[in-house]
Amino acid sequence: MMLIRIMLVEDSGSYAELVKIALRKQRCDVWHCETAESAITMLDDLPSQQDDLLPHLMLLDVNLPGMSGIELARQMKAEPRLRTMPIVMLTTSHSQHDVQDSYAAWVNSYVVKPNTFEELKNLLRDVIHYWGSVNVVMR
Amino acid sequence: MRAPIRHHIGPFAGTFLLLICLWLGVTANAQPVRGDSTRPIRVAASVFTPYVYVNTNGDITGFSIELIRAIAAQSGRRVEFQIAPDPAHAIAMVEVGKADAVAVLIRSADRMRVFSFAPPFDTTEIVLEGLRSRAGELTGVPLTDLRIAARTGGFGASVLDKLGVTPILIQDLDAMLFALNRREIDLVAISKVQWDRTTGLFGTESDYAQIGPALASAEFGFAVDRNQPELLALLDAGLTRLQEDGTFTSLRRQWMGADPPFWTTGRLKAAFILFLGLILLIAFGSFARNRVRMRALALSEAQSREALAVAHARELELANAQLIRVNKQLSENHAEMERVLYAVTHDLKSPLVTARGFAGVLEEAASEGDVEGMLDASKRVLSSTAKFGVITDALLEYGRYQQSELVVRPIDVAHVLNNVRMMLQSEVERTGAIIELCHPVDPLIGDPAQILRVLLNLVGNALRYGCPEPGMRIEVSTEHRADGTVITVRDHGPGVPEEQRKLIFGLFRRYAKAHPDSTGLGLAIVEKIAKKHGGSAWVEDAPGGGAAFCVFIPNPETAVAAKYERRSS
Repeated sequence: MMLIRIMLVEDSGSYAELVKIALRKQRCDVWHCETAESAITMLDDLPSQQDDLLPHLMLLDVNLPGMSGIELARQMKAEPRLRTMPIVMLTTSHSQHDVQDSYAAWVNSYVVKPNTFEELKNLLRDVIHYWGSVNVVMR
Repeated sequence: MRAPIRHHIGPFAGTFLLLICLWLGVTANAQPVRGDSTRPIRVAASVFTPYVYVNTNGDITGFSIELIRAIAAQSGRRVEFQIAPDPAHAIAMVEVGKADAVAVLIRSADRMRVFSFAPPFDTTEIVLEGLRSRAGELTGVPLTDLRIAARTGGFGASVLDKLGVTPILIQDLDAMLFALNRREIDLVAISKVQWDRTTGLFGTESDYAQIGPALASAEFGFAVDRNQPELLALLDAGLTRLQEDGTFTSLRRQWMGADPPFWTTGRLKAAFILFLGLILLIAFGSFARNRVRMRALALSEAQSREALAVAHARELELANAQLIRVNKQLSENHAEMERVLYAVTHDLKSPLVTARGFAGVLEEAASEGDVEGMLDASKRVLSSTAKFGVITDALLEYGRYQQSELVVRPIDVAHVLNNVRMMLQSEVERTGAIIELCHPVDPLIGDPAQILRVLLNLVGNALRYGCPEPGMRIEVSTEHRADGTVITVRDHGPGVPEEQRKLIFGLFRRYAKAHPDSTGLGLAIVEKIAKKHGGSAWVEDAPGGGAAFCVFIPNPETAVAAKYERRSS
């Protein structure tokens, strides 16, 4: 099975750590960014001729300090180089407004952060199996 | 004294109107009646209408149609029939002008009990047996030579099919009976009871002998375009003649649709128009006299009325402004509540979800006997719950500022800043920052406890974000203006990007490079306090680099006026 690179944009360091622990048994490489701005910088820093190094999947929080997750998704989907990267919103917000805005920004999926560690592990396993493999196959 | 010329207008106008009415009355009778007496009468006939059916030659026939034909023959007019699928459709054809009349029987005068016998059970066997044994006996003709009417797909038709007899298909029971009466068929094969007429399985000519008298005393109706009085009169005259020559003994007429209004015909029309003219003349004369009187009265009272109207308008305006103020306040409160709710549900949930997640990790580590993992997970649980506590406290504080009443008095800014320095001592020591109060210090009037909170939050932010290197300066200044005082906390850090300057004052909105301990409520509280004082808060670039956070606290009397103005706008 191929190594799947995941970019996790999450302002809470503790939650990012929790996601990493939940993904311990998956063949994943997690790149953590605390803000949308730092995620953009990290993606821009990848040389354009090495697009095969781009993450296979992005897990993105809605509420971030500075630029919001939805704005980041909108900018990425407008960028031809990044458009095919699946974006899964991972947030505590149940707000219909956030769900609608996210899909309007062309995110691929919207999931609410689960309450237990077991649920989080199952959720991440399913998300990675589906969206990670979709992007691996596409490349 | 001569009356003003306007007093003569009424009688003049009245006379003029009367002359017009007279002319209209005289010419009313001369107007031609609508309709062309040479073209044929177009009759809409529904094949499912009682007494209308298509006979074996394919012609439309039936009792109503025969009647119309007879009437038309007497007047020398031709009749054109148009087929409609049902009676309602036929009537609609008249309404849209595609037909002049509808052939329809309204009801028969007597119930026509014309059956020979009714089977006790409605079953195929009994019917078959009945037909086999009785048909020949009743008619004297072999079954296969009989002309039997049945409804398409009906019970009778299915029975005949089993007997190998081809029926003459007629859909309507009354039409069947009429065909029987005209000897176009020998037998009717019907199994169902229709309306209140119980119909037997089959009948013969003798059984139906009473149909003629029943029809002769029937009641007929015509739906006629009422705008064609000539056609109406023609049909009426035709019916009268048919009654007089004995074709029908007790023929009654019923015109479908409303009768034309009486004023649209003949002399009555002229009389009505004249009468209307006279009424108008009297009404107009009376109106003109009253108008002159009222005008004089109105002129004498104009001044006082105008004053009254202005007063009422003013009252209305004030009430309206009050309503707008209350409305605006309500919608502001509602929006604020929604913002707080959204923020609380999201930002309070975040540490909770993290803590629960790490509780799961702790459980897993315990089951695996991983002591190090357990320690790490429990630390995370504790830090997440601590964050939960910090946010709850900040929210409570935000709520307190929302509710609390202002206690306004002159403030000694230097004294307040000393307290701030003391409260932030450890941060000051960590960054080695220098907090300066720029002189001269202008007077400031506000709530001291709340201004202390403003300075604590702004200086605290400056220490966190505006002092990237040790020993940097933070300057606090006051500037007196005509309407109040601006407090500025200025740092020499990287500043705040233009696009984030408004955002960071929102609830739980944090700067991109926010401190991990930031609750995202500090600047929201600063803005809330500024607004409570009737002022505002904002951030701008400081000259020479860095950020300048400004809070405008208006003079107490200006604050009240500004608050009123803001609400009413």
